[in-house]
Amino acid sequence: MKSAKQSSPVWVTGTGLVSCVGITPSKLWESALSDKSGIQNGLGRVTEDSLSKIQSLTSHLWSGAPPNKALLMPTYALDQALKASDGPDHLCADDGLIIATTTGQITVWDQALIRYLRKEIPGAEFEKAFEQQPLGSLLDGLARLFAFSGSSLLVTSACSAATQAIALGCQWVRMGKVKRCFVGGTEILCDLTIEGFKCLQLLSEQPASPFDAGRSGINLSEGAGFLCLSASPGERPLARLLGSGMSSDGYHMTAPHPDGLGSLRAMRAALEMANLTPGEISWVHAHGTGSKHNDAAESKAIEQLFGESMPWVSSTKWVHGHALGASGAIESILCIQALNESTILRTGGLVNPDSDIKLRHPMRHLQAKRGELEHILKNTLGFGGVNASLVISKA
Amino acid sequence: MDLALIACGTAHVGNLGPYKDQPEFRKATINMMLAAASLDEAFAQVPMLQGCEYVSSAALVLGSSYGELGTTISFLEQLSQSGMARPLLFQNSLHNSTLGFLTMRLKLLGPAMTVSNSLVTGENCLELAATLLNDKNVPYCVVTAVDSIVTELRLEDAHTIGSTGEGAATVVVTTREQAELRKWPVLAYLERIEYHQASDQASKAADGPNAYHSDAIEKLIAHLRSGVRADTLTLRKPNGSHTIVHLEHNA
Repeated sequence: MKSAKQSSPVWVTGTGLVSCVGITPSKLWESALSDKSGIQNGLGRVTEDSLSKIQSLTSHLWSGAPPNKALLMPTYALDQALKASDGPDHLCADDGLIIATTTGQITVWDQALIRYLRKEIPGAEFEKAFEQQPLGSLLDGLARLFAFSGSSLLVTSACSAATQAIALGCQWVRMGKVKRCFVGGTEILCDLTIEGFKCLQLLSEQPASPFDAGRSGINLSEGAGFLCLSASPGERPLARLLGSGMSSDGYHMTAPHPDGLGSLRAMRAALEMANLTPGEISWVHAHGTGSKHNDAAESKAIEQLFGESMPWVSSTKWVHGHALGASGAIESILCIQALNESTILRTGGLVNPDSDIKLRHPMRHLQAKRGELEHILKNTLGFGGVNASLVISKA
Repeated sequence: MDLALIACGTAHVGNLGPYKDQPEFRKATINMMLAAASLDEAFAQVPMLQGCEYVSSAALVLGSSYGELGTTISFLEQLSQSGMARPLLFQNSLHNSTLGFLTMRLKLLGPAMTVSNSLVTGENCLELAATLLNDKNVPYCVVTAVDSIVTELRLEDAHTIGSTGEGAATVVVTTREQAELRKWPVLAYLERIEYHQASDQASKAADGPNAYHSDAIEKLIAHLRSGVRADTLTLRKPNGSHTIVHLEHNA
């Protein structure tokens, strides 16, 4: 049921990203369209070639030694989003900056910790590396590189963090707290998450196959993505953000509620804010990690919400993997590319749909006719039972 | 901001005795226990919020600068020594793990998020609560900040890195409008927070005996409990920066 009042749209006017399949949104799009997976041995690493390129492309921002990889990736993505957006190509005092991450700059200090505990390095050397442990050091690093002193925030709500960051950025813009808000996420592959997910038996050594009967787990990946949000469309708006919804499962530390009740609430809240009915959603870009539990729970939530008006539902994690704290940002950027190309992407790796999952899977990429792809619902479900959904719409 | 503060609670390691024996806390970390204890003290002041329909749509903001660092270190250390990764340690190692524990304990189903921003973590939590309360469907927001000392990080010269203080603090906040509508008692109104960076000439301020990165909320509570009616609270940080919290005390 529609309410009378719709929240004002927030415009996306620029994006930037680095992922395991390239260093631009168009590269990510090309990979998705050509079914090219960036997953190798079950993981999606940003290539050395990509790192070399982004280091070169951001050299104007730093002097001396380049930032470590965990800081370099979001630095590049933010710089690209700035350059792509309307307005100044640097952060201004009335801009906002919200970044999401799960482990921050952990690779700067995790090996140093082990070496210190083994007495291979002195405490002073470890202490120096450990200065980057607080997640806020990532935000401090970005603020220093971009000479930024405006409103900022770091969200670390696991796999829903970047989606939450985008939702908060929209709020800041609507509230008039900031003129533009740069929102995004970053994640680096590390022993903590790789071995952690492995011991929970959640990893797949093959590219993930979300919603497939034979799905065997997720592919962790790394990368960073940023979006520029603004109250005005500017000259070249990329998309509109009409609504967002956030909820908690209150159920389990790592597993989602089996009936997806929390995700259902988040999706409903997003639609309510966007003043849209389920029937107006053309495509659900699912969290769809390829894990048994996530895909089952999320699909139940989607079935319950849409019923007879089931839209296309797919996940693109076969292409780019699951970048944890950055996934909401990277995948939202992919959704924006899809809107502008009027194309609904299929779920890569889906060969034999799970018969217990009653979704409408596009088994090939679909070119939408004019007016057919207007609104996408983007989902994320995170550890701790944190759910977030966005309505991303054509500009 | 214009947040109405309706309840508050704090906790330190000395308060945790009753929690350690409870089955619910058998697998809990120090952060989880501290946060839960501060939350319990706060909710004891607002019995009308307990077990009512509001909790399902209330919001929760959890702030921690160092997060579940102790558990992370244990995970990495054990992995390094034995090649084995322990699922429980991993489950409890993320900053967000504390949040997950609290939402389960509260049976909270509304928006919940974890934030971390070093010395201004507490302040950011309060501002985030104001953002979340813009949604009229959110009746109140629980704001908790916690950090703890990790004794494994005592270096060879006996000084400890990471957090050198520990504790947790919780405030329950709502909008002025909601407080008036529901006739909830208000301790004070939070109007805004100013951030001031360190100047080149600023000397490092003393931390205080138990200062921790996210202790802004605990200091706010201490100020309210002190009976001092000053309408600004200046929070000096060890790096020379400071924040100013502007309040309106309730009569």
